[in-house]
Amino acid sequence: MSVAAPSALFDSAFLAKLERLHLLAKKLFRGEHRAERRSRQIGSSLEFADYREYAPGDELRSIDWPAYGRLERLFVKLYEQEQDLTVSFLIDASASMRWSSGSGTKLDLARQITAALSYIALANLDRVNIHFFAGDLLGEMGGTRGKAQFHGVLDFLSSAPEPDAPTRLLDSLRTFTQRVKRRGLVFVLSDFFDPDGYEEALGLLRHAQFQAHALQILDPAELAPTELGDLRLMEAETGAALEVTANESLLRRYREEVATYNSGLETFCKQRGIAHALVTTSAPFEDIVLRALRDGVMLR
Amino acid sequence: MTFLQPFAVWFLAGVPVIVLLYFLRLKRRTSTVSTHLFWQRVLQESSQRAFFHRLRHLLSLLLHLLIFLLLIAALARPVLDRLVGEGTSTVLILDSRARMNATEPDGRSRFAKAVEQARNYARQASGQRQFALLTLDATASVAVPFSADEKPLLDALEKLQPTSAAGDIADARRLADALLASRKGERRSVVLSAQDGTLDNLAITRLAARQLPASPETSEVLLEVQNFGRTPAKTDVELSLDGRALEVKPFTLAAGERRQEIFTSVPRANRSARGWLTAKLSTTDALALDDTAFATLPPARASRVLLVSKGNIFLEKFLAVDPSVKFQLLAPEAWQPALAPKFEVVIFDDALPASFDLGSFTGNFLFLKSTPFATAGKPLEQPLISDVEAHAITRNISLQNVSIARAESLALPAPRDGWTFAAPLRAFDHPLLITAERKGQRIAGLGFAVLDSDLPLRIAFPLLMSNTLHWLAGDAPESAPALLAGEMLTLTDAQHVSATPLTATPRAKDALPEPSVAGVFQPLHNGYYQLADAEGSRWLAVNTFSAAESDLRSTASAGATSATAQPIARWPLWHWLAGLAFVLFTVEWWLFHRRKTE
Repeated sequence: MSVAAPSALFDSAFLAKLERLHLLAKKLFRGEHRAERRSRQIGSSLEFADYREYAPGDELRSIDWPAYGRLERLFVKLYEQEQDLTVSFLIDASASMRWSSGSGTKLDLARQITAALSYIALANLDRVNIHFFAGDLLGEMGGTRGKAQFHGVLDFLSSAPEPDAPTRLLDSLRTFTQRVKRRGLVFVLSDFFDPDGYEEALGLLRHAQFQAHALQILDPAELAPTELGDLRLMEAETGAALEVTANESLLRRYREEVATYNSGLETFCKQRGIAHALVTTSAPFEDIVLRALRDGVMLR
Repeated sequence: MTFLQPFAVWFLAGVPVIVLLYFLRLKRRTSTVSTHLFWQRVLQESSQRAFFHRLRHLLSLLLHLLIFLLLIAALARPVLDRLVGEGTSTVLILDSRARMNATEPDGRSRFAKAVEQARNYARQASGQRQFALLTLDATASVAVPFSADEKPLLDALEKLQPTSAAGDIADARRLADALLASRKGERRSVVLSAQDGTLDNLAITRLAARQLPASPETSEVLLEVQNFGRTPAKTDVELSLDGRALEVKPFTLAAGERRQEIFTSVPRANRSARGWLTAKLSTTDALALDDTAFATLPPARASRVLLVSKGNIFLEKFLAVDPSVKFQLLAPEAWQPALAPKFEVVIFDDALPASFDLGSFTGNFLFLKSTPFATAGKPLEQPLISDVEAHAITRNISLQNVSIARAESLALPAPRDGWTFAAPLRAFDHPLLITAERKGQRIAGLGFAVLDSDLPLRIAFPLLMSNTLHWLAGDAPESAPALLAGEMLTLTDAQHVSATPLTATPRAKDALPEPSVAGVFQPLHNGYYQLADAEGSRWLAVNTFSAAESDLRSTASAGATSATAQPIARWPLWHWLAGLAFVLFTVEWWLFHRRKTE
């Protein structure tokens, strides 16, 4: 299964568009380094945050003398401190993500989206982590900051490891939460076709206080297959065969089943504050990045 | 129920093949999908419908078998016996006479239109509507007896061609009535003949050639041309012999006018020529068939003559130069009566056999000076020819002032033993020439020796001898053999005629049709037929020569009626079966693609 190099999908004009976007963070996270995002840690920026009573050891220049004149009590002015954000990408590299009906693989699209969002994050001096997973985490690129590291990101994305097992979301995300201590944004790019379900895995991310984004990537043929007749269906992940006589009625029921599944995923995410977006490989990539993700309240 | 084509039942052997193929269905197509997750859920629901699934399999097989059986039944052409007895019987009378060769203004022949009508009727053939096909040319004949199957009717119509013969529509009607007499149910006959509308036509209605009596080496030709149009017409008639033009004669004919023309001085065909005499109109009209006429000129035939003489230079010279004579010279001492049957004429030049008697000798004889006729007195000295009676011997000759030194005084015998006698030449009361004739035998006796007169020096001498020899040989003015199309000729055991005619002079490399027809010969097409017998072969000319066929101004004059094919009223049963099979096939196709069947 051929996988296109992500760098081939970007041109300078497209990258310039991405640079103007900013990641939307509903929550503020504490960072180790100063960056372009506000945190609740009091710092030395010009943004006023709060007052507190003076305590011995506080710098005298931070005392609000006009307030002392009105209230005859010493208060210290607190300012918000600009901090960086950790953005993690979890890319499903299982065999099902490498299947295509002809319009490009889901894995290719996932890597393209990751490359785009990574560029935005690096431009904002955020920290970027990228992980491939299938049965478990397969590869990792962690702690990257600055636009100068973008080429390294592309190189990493280009070398997607072969899947070791069928998709196991729960095992993969459990390993992720154990391995990554710094909380922040987490993008899960997958088709979410896990026979064991997605609920427990996404709930684990939320429980670990990550702001999760579920980006469901599907092939149009998965949403609405058209092939009729006597078929022997070979599953991409397991190689198992299933004999099916496909007629209009069966395909209609299949479409209903897929719609129900996707609707359940969307409802689950909405109820748990997880942003969800469904994109297909047939949609133009720029539209996905500039519109679909904006509609999914991930970009602003 | 009757099956018109029961052999179709053999196709039932294909039923097990269909069942076998059904169970050995084609291998499923392999397709790769990302996950079985949703397919398994869908199939889990479908498994609850397993009974309907198996039923769908069975329905598919039953549909296939039903379609196959319906097709076999349609091929077998079933006919319900109940309907056969109650149906209609129709006799189609297809006019194949010469008039049907005419071309309509739309460029199609009348016969082609009639055949098309007949086809329309034939396609309606079924158990309920049975058809018989009659053809009418010189006679009416049954081409196809009553049939519920269109195929033999259509096959016969495919092969039928218009003829050159004239015929009577009443014959066909009588035959149709005879056929219908034994049929039950509704009966009718339909005449498929010329359509409405009149056509102008110019025709050769007669062409005949015969040997010119006055000149056996030439022939005279009678040609008759008639204008069957409504307006005056001009044409040229080209007369050709063996493909080479002899004469072109212009004709201007008023409407309906008939004109005859006699061509003389047409040379008789020599032995090597075919003697094909063809007359052709220069104009084209609706009926091309009668624009060309065929005739033959009989080849010259030499008479075998035996001259029994001690020597007669004038006779010998004459016999040598006459192309119609092939003679031998014999001394009187060598004469034997047995020689007579080998020659058409035996000439005794002053050499009367001693025992000659009119009753005992067979053959034709010419006696010069010494005759078997009785004399009445002394010989005549320098007699004058006073009376020349009309006779074949004296035709076109002048014997005035012929000097005769001496002649026998012959006495004209009285008729006896079947003999009749005549004296074409007389010297007053004395016959100079006596002819005797009875059935199959002729004798002439000249009462003087040609050397005793100046007759050999006269122009009348060769004519007199030629007339005498032809009369003795029984040469009558000969007409060429000819037949009308459709006319019957009874052939002897030794005679055969070619089955197909020639209408144009064949090239040297072309093979001529071999005479093969024996017994009774009835030519239906104009042209030249080769007639062969023990003596050799000769050509026989066949023509239409029928004013009724050439006159296209009125279709009613020939007694023909036309009919238009009715639209198909009821389809035969096999049509319904085939249609039902087609509908089921369409339904099965639709169901299959909708995955209702497998």
